[in-house]
Amino acid sequence: MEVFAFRAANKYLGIEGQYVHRVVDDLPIAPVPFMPPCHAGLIYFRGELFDVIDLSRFLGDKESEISETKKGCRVILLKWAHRKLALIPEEIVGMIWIETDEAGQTVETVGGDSVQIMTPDDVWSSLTERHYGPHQI
Amino acid sequence: MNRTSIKNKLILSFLSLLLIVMTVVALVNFTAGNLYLGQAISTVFALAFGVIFGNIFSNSLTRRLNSLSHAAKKISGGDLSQEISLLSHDEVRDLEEVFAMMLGELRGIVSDMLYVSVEIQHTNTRLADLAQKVLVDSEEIDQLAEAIAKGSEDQTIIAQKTSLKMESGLDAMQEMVRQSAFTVSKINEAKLKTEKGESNARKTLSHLETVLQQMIEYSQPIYSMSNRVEKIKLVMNVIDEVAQKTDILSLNASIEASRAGELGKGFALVADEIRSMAANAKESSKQIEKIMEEMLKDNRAVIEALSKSRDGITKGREIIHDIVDTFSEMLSGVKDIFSEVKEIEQVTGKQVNQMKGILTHVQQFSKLASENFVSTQKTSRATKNQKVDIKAMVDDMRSLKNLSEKMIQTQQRFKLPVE
Repeated sequence: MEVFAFRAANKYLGIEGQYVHRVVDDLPIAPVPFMPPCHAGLIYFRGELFDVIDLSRFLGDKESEISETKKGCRVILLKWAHRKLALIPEEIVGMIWIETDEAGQTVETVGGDSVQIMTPDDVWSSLTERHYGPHQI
Repeated sequence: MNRTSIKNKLILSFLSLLLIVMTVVALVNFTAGNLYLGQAISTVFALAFGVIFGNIFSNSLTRRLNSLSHAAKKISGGDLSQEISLLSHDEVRDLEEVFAMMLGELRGIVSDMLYVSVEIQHTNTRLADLAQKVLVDSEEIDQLAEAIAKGSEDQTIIAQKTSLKMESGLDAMQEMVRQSAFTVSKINEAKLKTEKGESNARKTLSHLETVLQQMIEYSQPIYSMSNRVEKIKLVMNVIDEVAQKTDILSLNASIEASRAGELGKGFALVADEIRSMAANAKESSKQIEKIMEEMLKDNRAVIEALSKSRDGITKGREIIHDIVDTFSEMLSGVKDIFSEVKEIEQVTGKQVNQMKGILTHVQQFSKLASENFVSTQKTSRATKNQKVDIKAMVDDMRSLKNLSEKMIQTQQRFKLPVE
C-alpha cells in the first residue's frame, strides 16, 4: 500500500495515503487555550478548521525544535470520516510503497530505515485521553 | 786719737820708772844721806815699780790678745757674731782692726755663701722640678713621637695606596677618555644614521600616502561587488521559495495521484520527477546560497581587511608621522648628546691632566711622608735618648740638691750677728 512517510521524534512514521488530504506550509496557527501541550492550535484551510498536532510532543519529545518555533514548518492535513487533523512532522519523506496492508506494524523500507504505520484514529483516540485544562508549570 | 806704739810705751814706761827711781834715790839721799841706802831703796822701788809696770803692761797686752784669741776661737767654731773691740792704740790695734776686717770679710763671704747656697738650693729645686716636668714632657714627647711615627707610617701607607688608586683611577679615566672618543665617533655615526632614517621615514610616508590612495581606488569594485552579491542573494531567495513551493506542489500532486489510484501512477511519476527537480533546485539554491554566503563572507572579510588595512595605513601614517617627529627629536637629542659627550671628553681630558698633576703631588707627598716617617723614627729614638739623659740629669740634680743641703748645713755652723 502507499504510505505517506515522515519523521518525528527521531523515528520514521507512515500514514496510509488515502487519509492525507494536503501538505501546506506557512499557514498561521491559532493557539487554543486549555488544550494538551501537543495541540499546537488550529489552522484554517479552504473553509475548514484542522486541529494541529505537534508530533514530536505527541510522541514524547518535548524539546522539539519545530515544536518551539512552528514557523516555516510544513503541515500534513488529514481528512477521514468527517474528521480533520493536521500533523507537524520534523521532516516529510513523501509517498512510498510498502508491502503490507496492516496498520500498527513496523516495516523495513528499501533504504533500511524502519517505518511505523499509524492510522489517524490512533492519533485521535490518543488525543482524547490527554489532559485538558490549565497547564502545570 | 793719737796712736802710740808698744815700743814708745815701753820707752816711756822705762823713762817714767827711771824718773821714779831717780826721784826716790834723790829723796832717800836727801833724807837719809846715805848713798847706798838710797841706791838700795831706789833699786827696791825700781824693781817694785818695774814689776808693777811690767805686770800692768803685760796684763794689758795679754788681755787684749786673749780677747782676740777668744774671738778667734769662737770664729773658728763658726760664731761670726763676735764683735772685735778696738780699744788699743798701739800695734795690737792693727791686729784688732785686721781681725775685725777679716771677721767682716768672713761674715760677708759666709753670708754671700749662705745666700748663694740657698739660691743654689732653690734653683736646684726648681731645676729638679723642671727636670721632672721635662722628663714627663719628654715621656709625652716620646709617646707623641711614637704616635707621630705610627701616624707617619700610616700616612706613608695611605699615600702609597692613594697613589696606586689614583694611578688606577688615572688609567680608568684615560680609558674613559678613549671610550668618550669612541662614543663621539659612534654618536656621529648615529647622527648620520638618524638623518638617513628621518629621510627614509619621510619617503615611506610619501609611499604610504600613495598606497592608501591606490587602496581606496582599488576597494571601490569590492564594495560594488558586495551590493551585487546581496542582489543575487535576493534572487536566490526567490528561487528557493519557488523550489519549496514546487516541492509542496509535487508532494500534493503525488498525494492526488495516489488518491487517483492506478490512473494516477503516471502523474505520480511526474510529480516525483518534479519533486526531485525541486529538491535539486533547492539543493542547488542552497549551494549557491552557501557560495554566496562564502562570497559575502569573503567580501566582508576583504572589506574588513581593507578597512583594517586602511585603518592600519592611517595608523601607520600617524606612526610614521610620529617616527618622523621622533627621528627629528632623536636627531636633536643625538646632536645634544654629541655636543655633551664632546664636552665630557674635553672635561675628562682636563681631569686626566689635573689628575696627573695631583698624582705627581701625591707621589711627592708619599716621598715626603716616607722621609717624615724616617725622621719621626729618628726623633723617637732621640727623644728616648733624651729621656735617658734627662733621667741622668735628674739624678745629678738630686745629688746636687744633696750637696747644696750639706753645704747649707755646713754654713749653718757659722753664726752671724742678728741685724
